[in-house]
Amino acid sequence: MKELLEITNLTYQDLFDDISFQIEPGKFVTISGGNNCGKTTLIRILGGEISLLQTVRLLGMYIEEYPHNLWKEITGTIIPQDETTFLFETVEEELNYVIQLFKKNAEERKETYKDIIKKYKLTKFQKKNPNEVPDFIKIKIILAEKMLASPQILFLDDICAELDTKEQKEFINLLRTIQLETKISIVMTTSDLNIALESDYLYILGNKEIVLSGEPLSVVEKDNVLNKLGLELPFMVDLSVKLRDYNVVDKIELDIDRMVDNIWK
Amino acid sequence: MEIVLENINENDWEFSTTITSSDIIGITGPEYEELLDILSLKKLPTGKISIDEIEITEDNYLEYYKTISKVDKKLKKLNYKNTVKEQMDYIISYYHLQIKDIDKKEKDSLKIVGLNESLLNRNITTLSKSEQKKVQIAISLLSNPNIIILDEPFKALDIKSKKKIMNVLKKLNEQYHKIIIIGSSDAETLYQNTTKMLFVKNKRIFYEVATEEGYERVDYLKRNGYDVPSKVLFTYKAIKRKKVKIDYHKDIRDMIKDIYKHV
Repeated sequence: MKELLEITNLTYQDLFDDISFQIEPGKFVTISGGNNCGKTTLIRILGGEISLLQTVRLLGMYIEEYPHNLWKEITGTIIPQDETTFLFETVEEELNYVIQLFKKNAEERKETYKDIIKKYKLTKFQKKNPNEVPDFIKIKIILAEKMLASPQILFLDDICAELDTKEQKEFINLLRTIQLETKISIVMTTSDLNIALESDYLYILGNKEIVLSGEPLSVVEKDNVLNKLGLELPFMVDLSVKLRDYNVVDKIELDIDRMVDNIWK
Repeated sequence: MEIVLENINENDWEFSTTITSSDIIGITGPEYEELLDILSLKKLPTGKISIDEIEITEDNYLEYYKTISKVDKKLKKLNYKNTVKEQMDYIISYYHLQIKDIDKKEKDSLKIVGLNESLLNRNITTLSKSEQKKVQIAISLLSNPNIIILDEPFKALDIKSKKKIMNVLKKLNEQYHKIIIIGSSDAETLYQNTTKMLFVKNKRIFYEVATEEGYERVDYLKRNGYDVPSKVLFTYKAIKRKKVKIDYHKDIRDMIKDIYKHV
């Protein structure tokens, strides 16, 4: 299938040196790397906030060839570090304002609102001020609003670092649901390789380039490279690679019960 | 150092506990952040609090309030304070901190957490997330606090930064007898870095226990809705399901050796 997003010869400051990669349609891609490897900067470049010419192409057209507003609609960027100020007093008003921008029919607007509240688990927060709800709720509101524009691809910057472990699970499930329904592509940076294991494809940034890429399981087993970059291996991966060195097991096993069964048959 | 909290009653929380500098304290469970807020004494709660046998009252409260630093989940940009230095200066004047050489103190605080002093003139919004976290910890050290309360201090930090920060906290704890309290939802982090745990639930301290002993009670924790570190869970399942005689280990290399011996 044709590539959805293509990044060619990305060079920027002292962060990236001639990086190229592609994202296929409908894929959930994570990008990881040690501290200060440029994860957030990369999202700013993809979102168009930092403009580089002849570098980022979506559906065959360079970012600079799109009208700015259109780029903001066909791509949805969320960077939690940047504070968002919501305009309305309640989550309900806030969402309904954005809904009416995209849905003409009153009945349709009502349905859309109901769907969002249910899918994003916002029932308890409808009458709350969106500027005062927990960070996770804010992120879900922003995501719901971005999705109303029916974007082709989402650029998410280390959202899971803002969430506790339960919220992380809910968020990954939400992304998977959205993806099933809309076939959207997702590019998400993460400082936690446990999160990367949930994705379809993983890129590791380091030393200004992409040092590893592939299906997450095949990437995370390169323990030497990852350790050098300061990335922590998920415990079950770490256990698997070390036991494999001792010839106790022969492959990576993420499930604890199966691992126990493999070792003590 | 020792804080004795007796019959504390604040925002529906009710508890008594003693916190000392002989442990690194971990706190987890639903709404644990509220307990961190109470412990940071932003206001004097109902009940009796003594620090090193001196009771905290309305009269001496402000004096003690300054000796407690809280590192929030996120760095909050103060109004119009754009650079790291401006933010540090603001904290110093806000708390009336008596510092002889402010410049040196600010640079030293950055150095302790592993940051270059050139960061002082950077705008906070241009810092990476890990740099922001380290700046927050550097700021918390400006007042030479006796009690440091940290909310999710390791999120978004890579191993190198995590180790650096943990070593700073350990040193403050072991050599200078500072009280270190770490709040987190991440069982792995707490198991690895604390020596005593407060598991909270329904606005009470539900279970107060030595970290390893507590986390090894897997069934009990799971029944009460707490996460268990996968390291512990693995060993627990090996022992329970396969009757293998391996021990719990914090260091994965020790764990591997133990497994190898029992295969």
